[in-house]
Amino acid sequence: MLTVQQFAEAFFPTLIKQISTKAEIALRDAVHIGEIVVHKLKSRFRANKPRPIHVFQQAIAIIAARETNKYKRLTEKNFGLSEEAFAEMTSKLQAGDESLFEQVFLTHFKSCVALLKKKYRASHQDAYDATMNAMLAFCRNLKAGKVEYGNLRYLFTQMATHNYLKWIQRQSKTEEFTQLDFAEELPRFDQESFELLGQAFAKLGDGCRDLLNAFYYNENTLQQISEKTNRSYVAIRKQKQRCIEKLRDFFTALN
Amino acid sequence: MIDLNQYKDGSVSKEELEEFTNAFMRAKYDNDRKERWQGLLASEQNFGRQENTQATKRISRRVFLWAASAAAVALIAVLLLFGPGSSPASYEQLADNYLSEEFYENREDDSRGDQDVEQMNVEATVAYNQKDFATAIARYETIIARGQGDDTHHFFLGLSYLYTAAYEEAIRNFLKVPELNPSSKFIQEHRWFLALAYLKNMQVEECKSMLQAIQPRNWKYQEAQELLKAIDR
Repeated sequence: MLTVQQFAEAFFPTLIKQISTKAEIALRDAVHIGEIVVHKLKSRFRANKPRPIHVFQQAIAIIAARETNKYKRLTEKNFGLSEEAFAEMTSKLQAGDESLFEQVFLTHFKSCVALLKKKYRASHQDAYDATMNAMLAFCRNLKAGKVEYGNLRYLFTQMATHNYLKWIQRQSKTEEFTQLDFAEELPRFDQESFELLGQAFAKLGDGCRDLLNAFYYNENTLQQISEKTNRSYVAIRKQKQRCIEKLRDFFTALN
Repeated sequence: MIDLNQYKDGSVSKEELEEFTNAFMRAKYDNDRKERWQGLLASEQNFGRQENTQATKRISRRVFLWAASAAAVALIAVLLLFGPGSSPASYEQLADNYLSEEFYENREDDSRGDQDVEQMNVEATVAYNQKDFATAIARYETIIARGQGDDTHHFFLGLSYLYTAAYEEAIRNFLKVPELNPSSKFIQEHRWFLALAYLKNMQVEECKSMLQAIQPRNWKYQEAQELLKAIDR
């Protein structure tokens, strides 16, 4: 005879091992699931009276199976990421490391393109571009902390679908006027401008490069940068202004 | 918003400059990302903005056949040059011969994991055995990225990289085999192929250590000894 407290303490390592090996779940996530299972078991037997072991064993088997399935369904909706892995990916992104994000999202790129082609009969190129733009938007939103863990797969495909439909809508509107001889609207930035901007950026000092990178690439706010660098918000704002002026000067000189 | 010429002129207010720089920098970073992701999709998944048509597949097959014929001719030439009675082959030539003469087939009947992972497993095995290494790599990487990869996946992913001359990636994956499963059934094979990958990656000392780890009763022991002799010559 054991109390639920005693049973949980003794059985916890075995539970983790079973979740990890049988369900093929990473150890870190198995521990997390194990904690939820134990918490639910304890609340079910909250009187903490001594009972035969098999009573707890039967109960824990049911709770563990339910929680493991719930976890699997959730990670499936989130490109295989657990909540912790998602938090890790987001914090890496905010620090400028996009490798995990790329690995996860590029793996699902093809299936999103396939979905747009199948569901909306999109051409390959349109589906590819819409998915690419969704990935860019997703990256920015994740950096800005605007995306929450829950159903990333749905959100991502929704974003790609929205991009595609918007593009189609714009296309059909312009087609109405194709017979009129409108001057073609030039893209705002061309490849050459990007290259010159890159060269101008390289000429900046370390301080400016770090600040502009944190602001434009990592999507950190000036407030976040001021907290990270232990400098006042006003000082950061003024420095940013000086940096973008220098950047413009270098860009103009290169032209 | 101001345009690029006004930006260059400098006759703009602070707010306009800020707004324009904001758009310009973000567009540049987006452009950089797009280029990088397009490159990764093309190299790792053979997936481009232009649809992969049957025509390209036929061309690839034709290129493959041409390359295979060229390789066969080269192999005959190597055998004629370095066959019995001729001077001994260099270790680089030996490694190339070992890699080209015998393809290590995947005969695993792997049916674990989620349903779609199971499906990917099948696709990976089929692609690998058909020497469609780009597809095999993409499938194995996906399985591993989903946290469902094991020593078998890393072993065949390593081989896929080895056969496509991506030696660093091959080494990285072969090293995962004993790490994930010290009693893996591919331990002997992994030593031999890891040694070849090291050699092709010019890591001769690491290659030697690995070859020395191949015991007399192990798979490819004779070849390992032959290669060691060639390295020490």
